[in-house]
Amino acid sequence: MAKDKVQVATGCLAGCSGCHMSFLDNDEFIIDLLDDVDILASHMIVDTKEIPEVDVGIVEGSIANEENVRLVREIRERSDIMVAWGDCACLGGIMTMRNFLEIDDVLEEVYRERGDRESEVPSPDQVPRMLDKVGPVDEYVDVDVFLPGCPPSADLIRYGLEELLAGRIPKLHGEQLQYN
Amino acid sequence: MTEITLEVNGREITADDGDTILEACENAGIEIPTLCHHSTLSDVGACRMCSVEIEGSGFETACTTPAQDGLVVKTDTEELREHRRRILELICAEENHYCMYCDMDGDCELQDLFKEYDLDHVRIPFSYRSFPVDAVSDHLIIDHNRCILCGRCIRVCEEVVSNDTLDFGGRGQDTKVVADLNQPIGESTCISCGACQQVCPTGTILSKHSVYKGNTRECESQETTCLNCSIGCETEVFTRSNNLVQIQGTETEGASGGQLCEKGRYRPLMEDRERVLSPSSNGDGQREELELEEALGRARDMLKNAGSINAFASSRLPTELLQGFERTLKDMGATLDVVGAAEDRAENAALEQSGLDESLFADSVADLLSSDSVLAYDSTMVETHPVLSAYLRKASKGPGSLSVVDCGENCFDRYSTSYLELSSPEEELTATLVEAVEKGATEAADLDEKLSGLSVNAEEAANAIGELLEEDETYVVIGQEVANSEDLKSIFKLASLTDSKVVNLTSVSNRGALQLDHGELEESPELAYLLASDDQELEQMISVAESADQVIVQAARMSELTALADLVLPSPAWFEMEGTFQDLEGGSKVVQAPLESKLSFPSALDLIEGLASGTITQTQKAG
Repeated sequence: MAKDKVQVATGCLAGCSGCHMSFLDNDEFIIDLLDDVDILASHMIVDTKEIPEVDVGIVEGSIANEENVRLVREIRERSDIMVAWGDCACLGGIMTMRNFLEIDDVLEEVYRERGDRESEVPSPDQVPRMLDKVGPVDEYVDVDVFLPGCPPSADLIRYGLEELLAGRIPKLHGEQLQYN
Repeated sequence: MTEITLEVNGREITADDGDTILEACENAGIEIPTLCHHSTLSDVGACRMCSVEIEGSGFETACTTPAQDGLVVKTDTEELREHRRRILELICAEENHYCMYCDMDGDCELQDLFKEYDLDHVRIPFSYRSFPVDAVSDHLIIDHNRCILCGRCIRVCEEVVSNDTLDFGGRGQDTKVVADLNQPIGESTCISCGACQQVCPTGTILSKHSVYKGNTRECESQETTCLNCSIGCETEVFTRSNNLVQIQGTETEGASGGQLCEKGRYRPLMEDRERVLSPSSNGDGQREELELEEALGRARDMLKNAGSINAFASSRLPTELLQGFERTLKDMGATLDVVGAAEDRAENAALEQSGLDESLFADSVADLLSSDSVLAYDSTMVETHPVLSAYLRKASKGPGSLSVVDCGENCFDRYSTSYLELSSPEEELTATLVEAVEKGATEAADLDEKLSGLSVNAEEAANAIGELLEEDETYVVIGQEVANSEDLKSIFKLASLTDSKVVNLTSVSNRGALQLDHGELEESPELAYLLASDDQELEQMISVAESADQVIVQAARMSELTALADLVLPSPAWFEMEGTFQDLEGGSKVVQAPLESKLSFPSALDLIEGLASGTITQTQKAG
């Protein structure tokens, strides 16, 4: 592992992995990217579960449960630059639809009413405890780069990475901002 | 007007004294972002997006601050950008502005500003408050979760349509737009004109007929003229894949302020009658589809063999088509009439018999907006001519007054100053009023005796007549239910005696139809040929069809009328026809075809001309 490469870790919070799919949509650019970048942790790309110290930490998804809080803080602590991919991470996104409902009602409906006779609402020792309200990442940690979009296009994700590699903090403007 | 000079962004610009800073900058080509401002409406400075920096006095809203000589203004500083972005963040955090679940995504003025002001995240907590969605109306959905309280809908309802249905209700962060006393919009005094939907800058007020059919910026669009009534409103029709998506009013700078009515804006999108795509005959109650050539041959034989023919056309058609209809059918010996032309003949007879001339009529319906007093006969004009009715409401809210003569419901109830209520349309009110005016006995006490046998309140009548006599700009507007030449004669006389101009509304839509050689139809002809296209108001045509032994109907849709036809011929639909339209004032307007014809022949005119020759050029069309 050449030390002069930019080290990156990515994480998926309460999201659909769509932003990571959009990253993978960059096809052969990823091969070129690997000349300059080491992806040290990424849930769909590398097996490592540990988040190492990196130059750039990237997250997609909103903060919906205690595990999301833990992971986003860990990535923040171990990254110099924090990037938020997608509407969920930047603005809360589609997950926030749950904020208009009572959490117990949601759990009851999803796990019992829609489940079979054996289903039950999982306890917090089985799955991470859900937070009262879902919110964007910057409600918990400082974010340096925001790339909204649902998902951000492959081109936009590439633009963000290329700007960082060129030593600039990308800042979207006008039609680069898409909220769908 | 005095010219003033001010400095904007270091550049000297001139403006008219009385312009706002926003107007002065717009005229000089300097852009200032706006949200609650709309060119047809008054300015209230609600959203603060147009804030500019004025040397010596800080931030002011450009839309409400008058431009003054010598002002030094900055419109685009870092501080202003930050201020505007803060406003957008507050808006974004307060309600639900996630574009991905909104129909207006890509068509939204708020989203445009989010992009312009780099809104990639929001620095304050989201409120996640839930507001109601009102979706019980036939036409509108109001999603209060997307409302930024700019008040455009309220102002257009009050200032342009003058229906005063919408207003703010509640206080502070519970403020929302309400209809009447917080009724659902579908159960309120709303007349479904859709003006609020057209001016809404976000996805709050949506049309049920257009939602999720595609945003207008991605549609093709074509300006044309509405064929529904003689006002002939100019519209922009948005289409996608040869389907209607949305209809908007375009005369935002004109008298109507770009308003349309429910019939013009929504009905064409609600059309659910089966389309007539091929000819058919009716044998023993069974519809039998026919080839075009064969149908044309049959129609030609029917027309040739008939001893007497009534040719009757809708007036909601372009003039050129009506002229072709006249040429062909007259050549074949038909008696020709057009829907509503009989009312026009009654008008002419009344005018002639009362020794008056065309100068009795108002030059422009827009003048009604500045009328001092209007006497309206038959208030159903709110249904038949909604945009003109808005002019009457608007004038009545200013210094002008509105009196109504009707039997039954007064549709101008909230706006009329006097209501002369008849117990039946036959009551001879006007003749009595004419007599009173001629004798100079128009006080309530005088009228009390004269009106003794009538249901009309003498005081209300005295008020109405008093207004007409005393005020300068006075009008008598006659609805289409008053169509008898005797009644018209009295009304014309009253107008002339009180020096009032007349606007006589009839069921004629395109007045180009009145140039045809029309006249009274035969009572029971052997054949009736009816040209209807998309017309939905078919009563007059149905009664003509019922009077004939044999019936040919040329229409775009199956209806009660085509059910009476022995032979049904296809017609292009309204939005597939081109030509000209003459409005109530005699002005010529262009009718364009936003949609490509779904029929296998070039135009309605070709089919009608084919009746004479028995042949027609066919084109390849996917059905």
